[in-house]
Amino acid sequence: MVRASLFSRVWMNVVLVVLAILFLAPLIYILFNSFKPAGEIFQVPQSILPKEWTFENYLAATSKGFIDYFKNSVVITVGGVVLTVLLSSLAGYGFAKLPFKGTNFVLLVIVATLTVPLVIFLVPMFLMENEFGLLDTNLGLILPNVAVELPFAILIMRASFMAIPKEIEESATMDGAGVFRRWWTVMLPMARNGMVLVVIMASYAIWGEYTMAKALTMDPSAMPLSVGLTLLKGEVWQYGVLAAVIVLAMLPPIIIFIIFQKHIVSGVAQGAVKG
Amino acid sequence: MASVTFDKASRIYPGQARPAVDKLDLDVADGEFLVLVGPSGCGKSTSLRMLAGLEEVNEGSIRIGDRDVTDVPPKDRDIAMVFQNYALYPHMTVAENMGFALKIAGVNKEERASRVLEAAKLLDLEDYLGRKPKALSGGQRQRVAMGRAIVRSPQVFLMDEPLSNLDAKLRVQTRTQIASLTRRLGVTTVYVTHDQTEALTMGDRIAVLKDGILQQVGTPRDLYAKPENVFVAGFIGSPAMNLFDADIVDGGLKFGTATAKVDRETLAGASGKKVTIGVRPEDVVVAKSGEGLPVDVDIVEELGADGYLYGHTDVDGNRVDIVVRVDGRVHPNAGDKVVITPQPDHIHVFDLESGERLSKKAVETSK
Repeated sequence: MVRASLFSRVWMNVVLVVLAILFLAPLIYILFNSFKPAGEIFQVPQSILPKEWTFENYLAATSKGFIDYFKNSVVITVGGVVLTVLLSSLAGYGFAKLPFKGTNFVLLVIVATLTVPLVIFLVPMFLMENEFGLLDTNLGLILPNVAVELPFAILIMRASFMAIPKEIEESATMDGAGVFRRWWTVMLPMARNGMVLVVIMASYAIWGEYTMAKALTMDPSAMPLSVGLTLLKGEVWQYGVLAAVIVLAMLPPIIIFIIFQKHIVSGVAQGAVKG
Repeated sequence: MASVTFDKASRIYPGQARPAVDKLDLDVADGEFLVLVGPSGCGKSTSLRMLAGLEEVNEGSIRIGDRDVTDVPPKDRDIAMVFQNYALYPHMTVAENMGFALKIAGVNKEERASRVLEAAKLLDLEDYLGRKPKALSGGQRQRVAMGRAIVRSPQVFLMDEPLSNLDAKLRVQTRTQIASLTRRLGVTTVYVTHDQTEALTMGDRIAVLKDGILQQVGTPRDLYAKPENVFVAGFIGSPAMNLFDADIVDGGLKFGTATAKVDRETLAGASGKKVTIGVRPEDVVVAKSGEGLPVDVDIVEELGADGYLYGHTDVDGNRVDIVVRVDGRVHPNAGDKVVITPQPDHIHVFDLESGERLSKKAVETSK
């Protein structure tokens, strides 16, 4: 038995290592290519590490409108995530703790929107944004991104609030806290794990969002990275520059993961202990 | 400090025909420790929550002191509640937990700190003020919950089974602490429990509820010695009172082969030819032989000083179980046959139909 389980554990590890290599290889390839001079990238035979380390690709990338795209992406993502967290934690609290007539119906409608393909909304969205002058603006991308992320975020926040015993809120009520203060000082800190999940989910989704950004921005100065990236290739494909841009574009999601990693793990552990 | 009055207060949950609390009439005197007790679903917690303002009052009214608080929101009732699961705020320290209500009320920082410290001293929590609830033991958390209530110096304490999450030994210890603390502070306290031992040991008076209806209010002694109906008789006391149906005969009652003398006046109120007779386990004389009710001993529980004899007898072919208190050291053994006779002064007689007490009633006592 022991030998068999050891054997299967070894196999499990082999599979995991192979999978990790499959996922990481292209990223590592791109990372090192971004430090190679243009001539070295297509050299045969290929070398993994650059023979000559250079930052010229990064310098070239930042001079080609990258800064604008990056800035747009940051503004859209931060704005979108903040709004998503704020609205979903308010709505989730309402759905979980302040039931009203038709709670379930409204919730059902919200969930139903998850099933509608995004493409259907593109033309109406374009027309509406055109009407309000939101095309080619950061706000014009923040709002539809929030709309797309919100339903699922509300479900997550609702579940987090539902897990909090009702006595805690009753206790706060008797302590004299009004509904807004209860939400802010008592309930929200206790729903932190749900909020972390919403932050991660929304920031990944909005940072990498392409479809709406492609449809709602025409002016390169208003484009986020995901769309701008495709314009960066220039007249001829400069693979070194492209690699540098991709590396820079991947940094924020990785940083977000590193920041919140502790919370994700502790959240899982806490759930396990409390059952 | 203030008295509490339930004036025909009812709570009917939406969609339910039967009220959870049915026209509750109850007076709690200023500074009194009143225990609401009953089996689960009897409406005791609902009554407390109505007083707290967490549950609507559908009929009747509730007063704290002279003030009608029926429609007053919880925060304006000047009450503090201790919940069964303590309901501490997990992201706040002990001091922040205890000072939360004061902070909301706009009490300044210095006064808040001094009042929290004062309560912490009272509860032996000074060393834990900077800790979060998860770093505390169950007993400490319970004390923080108490402290949170004390800090506010409210008119009334409400406690909803505050001891049921503690282990047996700690529960007994905390029981006396709470009882002496509330008396020292002189704050009117309404305490909910399903545990009749807790009720008997802590309460100045006890109110027994069943199915949303108040059965009896009185001192622990009243309830134990003169239960007003069969339900209270069976609920208060452990092990429970022996209750049998007995025939009314000339000069008393007949149960199986045994007879008991009961005066004519008592039995005059009976609605039928049978009554329910109640005898506490300690009010029975056990003999090896002689006149009385023959009992087969099934098992004897030894509890040190006392023992409890669990046996059965046959009445008209039906098995009837009986519990009798015996000496802890010298007692019959399982398989023995004994004869028991109830002490005539301690027989409780109840009407078979209504369950109401026919023997002399307790005089309503209040503090």
